[in-house]
Amino acid sequence: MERWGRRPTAMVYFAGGIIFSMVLFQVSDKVVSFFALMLAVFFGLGMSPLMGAFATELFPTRIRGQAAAWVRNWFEIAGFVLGPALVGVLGDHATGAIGNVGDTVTLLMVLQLPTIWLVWRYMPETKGLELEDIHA
Amino acid sequence: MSRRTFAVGIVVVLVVFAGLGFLVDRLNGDRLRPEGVAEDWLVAVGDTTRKGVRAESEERAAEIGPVELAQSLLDAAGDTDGDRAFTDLEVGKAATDSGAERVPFRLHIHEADDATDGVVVLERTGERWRVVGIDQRRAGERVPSEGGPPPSSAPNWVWLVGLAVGLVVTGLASLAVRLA
Repeated sequence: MERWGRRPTAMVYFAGGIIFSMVLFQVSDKVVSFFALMLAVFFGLGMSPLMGAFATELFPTRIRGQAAAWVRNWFEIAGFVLGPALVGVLGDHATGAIGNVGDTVTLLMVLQLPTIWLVWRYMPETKGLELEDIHA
Repeated sequence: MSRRTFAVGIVVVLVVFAGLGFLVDRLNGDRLRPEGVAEDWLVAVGDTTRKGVRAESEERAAEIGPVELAQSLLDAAGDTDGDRAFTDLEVGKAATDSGAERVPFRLHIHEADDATDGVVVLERTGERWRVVGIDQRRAGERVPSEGGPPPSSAPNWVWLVGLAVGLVVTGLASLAVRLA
């Protein structure tokens, strides 16, 4: 993140997390699943420090604390809750609209694909900048 | 970015969350698949040997079908020492036979190395499915891990709709950034 920059690192980790999660939930081969799981977890966990950096560096100093608190403690936690909840609700074998956990997770990954463009287009590159020098 | 913009952003996100909940509820509708009902019943039956949740599990299973129908499976589990009777289970796609639905299943009984398989038979009563028996599998009745079809899967158009929705959300986010 410090060497490559926030933006390219985020794009690589977002793409890796999305692609390997899709593979993981669409294959039944144990060997492929094992490696897809490792890579999905690797890239998925790697998103957390990236989001932490963005949450604090994206906003100007006067609202930095409040903004970071909202982003991390509200929306991020909401994502932790809503993501798995959506999978359970839509993928439930009895009542879910999709009725298949694997397809539901894959669909949520497909929904995320265009967000990589958002990162490329709008996320400011803050590598090497002091917090005081960032004026979003 | 002003405080007002920040507050508006939060409200928009909260409204989107609420709208998402409403949308998911509408998408799910009143659907009730026999495969899921059979799975729920087997899970509840397996939990009837679990310490602390026995009564609740018996009640949950009885709402779908008599626990006694799975007595042979529970007897095979023996004394589980408070654990669930089935360590894992899997159901396949239902097949219609003489007005009933046959749902293939495969499960591991507590501390057993070999899997046990069979078919849960359900009948429709009003708007609900009720388990009326457990049967042996017939030819072609398989669960997904044995090469059988999954209980349900997303139709092809869903992937395109998913991508389109992702693009729309991205466009809206892009618009919000430009307006901020």
